[in-house]
Amino acid sequence: MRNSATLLAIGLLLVVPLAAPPYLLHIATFIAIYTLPVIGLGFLTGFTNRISLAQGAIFGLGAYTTALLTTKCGWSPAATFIPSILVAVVVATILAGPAMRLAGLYFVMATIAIHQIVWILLMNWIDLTNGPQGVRSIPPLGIGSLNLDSPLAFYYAAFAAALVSFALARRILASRLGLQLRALSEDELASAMSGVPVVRAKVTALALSAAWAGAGGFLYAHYIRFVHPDMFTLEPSILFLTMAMFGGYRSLIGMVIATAVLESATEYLRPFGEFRMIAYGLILMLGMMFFPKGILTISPAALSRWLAGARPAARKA
Amino acid sequence: MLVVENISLSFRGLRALDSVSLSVGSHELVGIIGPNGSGKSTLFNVISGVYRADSGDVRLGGKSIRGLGPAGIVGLGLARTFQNKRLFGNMTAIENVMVAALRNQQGSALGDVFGLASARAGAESCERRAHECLDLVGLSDAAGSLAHDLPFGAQNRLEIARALAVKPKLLLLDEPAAGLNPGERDDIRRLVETVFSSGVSIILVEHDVRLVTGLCTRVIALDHGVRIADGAPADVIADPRVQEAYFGPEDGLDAETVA
Repeated sequence: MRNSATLLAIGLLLVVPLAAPPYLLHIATFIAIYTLPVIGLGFLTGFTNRISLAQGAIFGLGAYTTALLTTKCGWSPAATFIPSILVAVVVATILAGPAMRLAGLYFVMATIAIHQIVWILLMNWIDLTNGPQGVRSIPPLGIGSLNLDSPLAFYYAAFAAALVSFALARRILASRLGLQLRALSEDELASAMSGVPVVRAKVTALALSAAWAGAGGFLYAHYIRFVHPDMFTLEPSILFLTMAMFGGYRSLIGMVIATAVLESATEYLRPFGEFRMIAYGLILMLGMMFFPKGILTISPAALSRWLAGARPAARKA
Repeated sequence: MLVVENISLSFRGLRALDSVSLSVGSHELVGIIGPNGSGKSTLFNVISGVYRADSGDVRLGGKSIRGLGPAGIVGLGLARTFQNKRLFGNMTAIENVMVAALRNQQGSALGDVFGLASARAGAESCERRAHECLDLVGLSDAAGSLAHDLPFGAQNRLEIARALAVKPKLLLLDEPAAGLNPGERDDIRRLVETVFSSGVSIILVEHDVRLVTGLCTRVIALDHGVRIADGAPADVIADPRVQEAYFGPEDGLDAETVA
């Protein structure tokens, strides 16, 4: 039953775009790309309870890595996939690894600082990054002699990437590492006393979140074919965080649905300009205050309890 | 096995532990008693690395725990339970125990993700070990229940199963019988005996003096962070300082009534 529903959804996502208008295809492609950094946030926030506002910057690092390697060094796009992930992982681990000691608002503030560091480097290290000129003429994604420069072909590539990353994330969470991460998110001291290598597990969650962001940035660069530091300001970070929070950091399918809903909303609300970011800010703020585990993860039972005025059972300390 | 040397620890000027020394040999079952606030749980927290002592040293199997966090100390063969139970509430009983059984399992996380044979073997042996531990504490039937859905007494036993899964040489039990009815207390008593006879050294902190004196071969008494007695259960209970710590200076009861 569940399997056939999954297959049906995948089938629809494969067939419908054939007849979809270009604008819809464009939105669908963005949804597929954004799924990656959002799932990445799930590893970090869902299992170490640390909220990051630097995911947009890490996403940008992936995008810049492939942009520079393909335009300046003449690498083929496919060959830059792994380096894009590696740069994102290494930089995130070096910058944010030490910050993993912090918790709560202090960690959030550290990630904002990391975001600024990355943005300032992209903007001012002109010899390497072209600074405010950005990087133009990024070649289209290609596999062998097959060029994915049509929107439809790119959509399929992005969709496949989202699907693979989703399946991979599921397997990781079902693995023993996933078991340790879940224990860690429940009770850090009890995990440590049960032999979970707490620091290593946390840094692994950080590295995984950066890997997913880097892969997403790689796709983004080859879709837009142009990168600029201002594409990686706090705005995408807030967007990714809102999507992950809306979906429920620990629910992969919830986060994918949230990405689809909020990204569609972003596009259709474009006429309202910056006002939509206000709406996101509100969603994010209210969500964090009232549904720290995510909005889509609220069970009907919990919702009716909440509506009836009973406070949800407090988490045991 | 365990040597505690002159451990002192203060919280904002309050002396929680004052030059406490004690040692526990291999295969010993030692009880620690003392009134509320006498430093029993603080001592456990120092031994297990949750708190760092201001001075003094703790050695496990000859190695100092200095600089090791809780996870490192577990590596020296120590496991513990918590007075205010700290189970992974939203995970099942078997998952709670599996987390601890993962220690020293073969196969990497990547192996798990890609389904390598070595990883599968490791995962299977981990699950087997977890089931053994649940069997031992009598919770096989509850393997699939979420930890926070378990009855109070079963949660205590699940904590013990989780602690055993790391294969400790020394087990610290922090009030395993607190809040239990007499029947459940008997279960815990039998369980402690079983674990002890399987070759694990145990330190038991417990308010129920009767449980401690019935189980332990040696009892240590603490009061205001100071070790005031150490010896055979009957002698410790009869010690005037222990009587004073529990009942005040004049109004002492005799050992028979307490035991």
